[in-house]
Amino acid sequence: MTSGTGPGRTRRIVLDLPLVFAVACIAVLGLLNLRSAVSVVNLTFYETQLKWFAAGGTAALVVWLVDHRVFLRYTWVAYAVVVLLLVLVLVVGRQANQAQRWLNLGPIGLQPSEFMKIAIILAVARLFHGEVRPEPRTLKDFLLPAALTAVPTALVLKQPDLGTALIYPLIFLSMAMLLRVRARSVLFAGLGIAVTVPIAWSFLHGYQKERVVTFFASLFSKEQLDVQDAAWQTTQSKIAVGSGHIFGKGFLHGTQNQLGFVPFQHTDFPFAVWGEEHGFVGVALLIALYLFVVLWALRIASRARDRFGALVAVGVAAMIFWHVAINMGMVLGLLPVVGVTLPLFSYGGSSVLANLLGVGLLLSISARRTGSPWEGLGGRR
Amino acid sequence: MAPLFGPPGELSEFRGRYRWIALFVAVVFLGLLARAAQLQVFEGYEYVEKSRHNVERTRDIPTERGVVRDAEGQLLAYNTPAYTAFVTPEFFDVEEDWETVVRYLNLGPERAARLREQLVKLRGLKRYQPYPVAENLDDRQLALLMAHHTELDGLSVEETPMRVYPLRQLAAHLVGYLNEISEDEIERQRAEGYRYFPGDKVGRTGLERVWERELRGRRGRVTVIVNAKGVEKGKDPFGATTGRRYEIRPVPGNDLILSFNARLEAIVDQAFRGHPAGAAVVLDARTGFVLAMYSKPSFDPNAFIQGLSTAEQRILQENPFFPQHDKTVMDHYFPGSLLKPFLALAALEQPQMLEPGDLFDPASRFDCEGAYELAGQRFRCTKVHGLVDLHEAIVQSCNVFFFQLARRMGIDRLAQIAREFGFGSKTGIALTREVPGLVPDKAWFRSRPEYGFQYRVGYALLAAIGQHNTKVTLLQLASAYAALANGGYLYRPQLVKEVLYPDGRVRMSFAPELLRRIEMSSDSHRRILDALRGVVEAPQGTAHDQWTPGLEIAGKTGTAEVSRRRERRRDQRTTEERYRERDHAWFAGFAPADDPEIVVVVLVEHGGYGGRYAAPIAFEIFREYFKRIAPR
Repeated sequence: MTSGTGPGRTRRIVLDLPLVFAVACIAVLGLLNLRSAVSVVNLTFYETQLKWFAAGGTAALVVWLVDHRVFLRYTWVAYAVVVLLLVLVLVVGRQANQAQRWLNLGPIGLQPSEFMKIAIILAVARLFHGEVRPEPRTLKDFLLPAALTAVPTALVLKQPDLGTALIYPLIFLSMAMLLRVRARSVLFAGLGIAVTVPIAWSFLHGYQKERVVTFFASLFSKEQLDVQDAAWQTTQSKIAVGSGHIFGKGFLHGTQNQLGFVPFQHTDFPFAVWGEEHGFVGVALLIALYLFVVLWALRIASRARDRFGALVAVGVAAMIFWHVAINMGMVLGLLPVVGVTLPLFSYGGSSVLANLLGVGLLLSISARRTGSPWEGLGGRR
Repeated sequence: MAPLFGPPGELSEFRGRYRWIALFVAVVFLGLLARAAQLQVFEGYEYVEKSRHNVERTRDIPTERGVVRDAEGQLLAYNTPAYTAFVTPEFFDVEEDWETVVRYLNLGPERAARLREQLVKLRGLKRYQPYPVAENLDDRQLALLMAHHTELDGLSVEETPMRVYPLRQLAAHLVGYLNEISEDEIERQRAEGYRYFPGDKVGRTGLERVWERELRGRRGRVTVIVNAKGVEKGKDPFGATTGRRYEIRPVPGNDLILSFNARLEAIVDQAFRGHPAGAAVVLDARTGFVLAMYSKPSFDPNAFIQGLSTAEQRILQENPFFPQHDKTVMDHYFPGSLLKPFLALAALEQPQMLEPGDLFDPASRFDCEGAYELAGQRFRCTKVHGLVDLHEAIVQSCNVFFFQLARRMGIDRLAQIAREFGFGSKTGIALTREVPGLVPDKAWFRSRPEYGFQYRVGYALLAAIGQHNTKVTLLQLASAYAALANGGYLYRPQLVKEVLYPDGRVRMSFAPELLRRIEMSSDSHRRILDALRGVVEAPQGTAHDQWTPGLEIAGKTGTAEVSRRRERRRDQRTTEERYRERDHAWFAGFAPADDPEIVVVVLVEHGGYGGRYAAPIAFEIFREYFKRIAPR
């Protein structure tokens, strides 16, 4: 497409085809699955999702064309804007399912908490990208990024959205894994978390606590607490996946899904629909695809030409990884029910857009890896 | 300001971390895969079962009750499609939605409260069985429910057959009706191996009750697919996930074909015009099959299907003539003079009287002076008949002749002949609440405290004219007169000719059931027939006035006194009281007289003189029968 600025360099398109292919696969399967999941809810959801995919795909291509280092400049602006939107949600947001998560912008509803993930990735990467120090880092170095994560986490908890509030710190911690830290500091951090968790617990809403408690109770007890909403959801989602057996009941033939036994089948539990209709074979394929995407993102990070790119790539990898792990863990009855989407499977425009923006960032970083024809693109002034 | 794109920085800090992170990611994903394998592969069958259990509900489905047809194929009871609203208690929010349902269905406050109580009371598996709340929905109710049923969880509308009795009041006693089964009855039926459910209809009276087990059919069982709210899913555009699967196919009930003739019943009804209460039986004299059974006043059984309102119930209960009684079998009456021919037959067949050497001679005459004195007591006759022989005594219904006869025969001989003809015991017709009537003899009087455990000769005299303690049903009279007509063949009266499978094959076929052959010489038989013919055709015959020549009829009139309460003087009594003190009018006869085909017994309650009021009704029935039902 463009450049090759030096003599002898040929102009070439540098697109990370394996990543594009894997993501496209997930997207197609996700849309197919959504078609089945919403067939009992409202088929217009499916059309809406298609439009968001189109928008997200376009956005990803635009981001791919832009050198990721351009985002360094706008990191704070982006961060500030999204935090402001999060505040706005709490003031004038739209309520659904007893939570206030959406902003109405004309005909479309935006969920700023989804974009906050990208903002946090950029912000944390921005903070760690410049300094190169021979000695390991101490806790002091993590105060500012921790604070930058904590603010939106608190705002999201207020909505309340336990799942997303979990994701933010996890993304931050995952990115921190790249850094060399003093052993003592790690110890302190561990202690710090041990203290914060009970405090954070006390801030949880009643239903959130109930969910966690029933979940742990169900782990130790054979008795089904199926009067409880959350336990019922887990039970039904396990039945859905389990009854898919090896080859599944077939597209649109999942009784658990079609007859309304799977709760929130298009938002939080599309994986249950997938498992029921496509069986273990389908589940294995999907896990393999996600595994590939995450590992490929790590590979992109390892080959990035700069620290910012590496940090952002790991951040995006972490975002996808934690979403997949928590969502699947929840559907498979390994984790309590928290509302975390399955990337590109769950219904939701903001989620699709945020995930595809992340993919766009990966493409951009990958295109400008060391030795790539696009390596210096835009870098010369 | 720092340059926008600074040096790439030192990437070595990150080196070596990626593979650990990748390892962690891989381990977690493998863990997820292992869990999926556990659920789907190793425990897969278990979950397949659970998911099936989730969506499958076994439900009993009603079958179609057999129909009842008369001898000419006319329907007396059949089913018509109707819509019933059901509530499944487990999925229905009584607190939230009951008022809405009551409004849509327009249920009365009384019925609404009762149903609500029912719904709350149901426990266990019954909470999953749809419970009927309103039947035979009209278009408005149906439209409302169809438009709103998605908002009302646990409410469903099903097509269920509704019983219809097209003849309404006509033959209501005979056919009977259905109504809702009680809890106790469900248990009782279950103990005998018949499954019923709350809200089921069961035969309550008449043939519907007696033939319940033939008519009911066998309910089926179906597995239906329900959604998470328990609502049954019809066939959806994608198929396969929904639909019904029969575990047991429902088997429709069997049909009854009666000997009863609805057109004849209508003729009887027409003949009874102008009389508020009475009853009649028409039998085939040669087989005992019932051609008509009529009881007036009657009721509309269709009203009972849906449960009567309290107002309707009161009207029925307050009617002084017991509309719900089938007067042909459920009540017994004094037969009056209708017993005389049997007495005459006994004398002819066994001329040896009580006194040694006293032989009855058919040619002997008694002098009737209008009364008979015995031990200082006067037993009245209808008038002064003068010298009468047996023939004339029957034709003119002379009491004195039969008083003489009874005294010489003794009450036991009298009781014996009556019992031979079936009086004093149930005929055994397949109908409910049949009464046996009463034929007293010496032993009976000696067992009764109200008679001081004593028998008096006078009792025989009263028994001879069918008063005092002798009580019979119309059906007994009909089959006894049939036996008299056909030369002594006493048949059990029967109503059902055939039971057919739903596909029309014959399941049961009923032949005439001969109870016994009563000994009678052809000479005695002829004498009795001649006398009975004289009743109608001879100028002095008690039924002669009403007879128009053309059809040869033989029969006997009767006038039975009813017990009178003489509390006030006659001129002070009300019209109704005077009416109720009038005698019952009887006629029993058969035609054609020389070769009897049918027997007709008519009772006009408080009709008065039998020859005047009951005979014309019987004549009309005979006439119309041979004109319209079986033209000769």
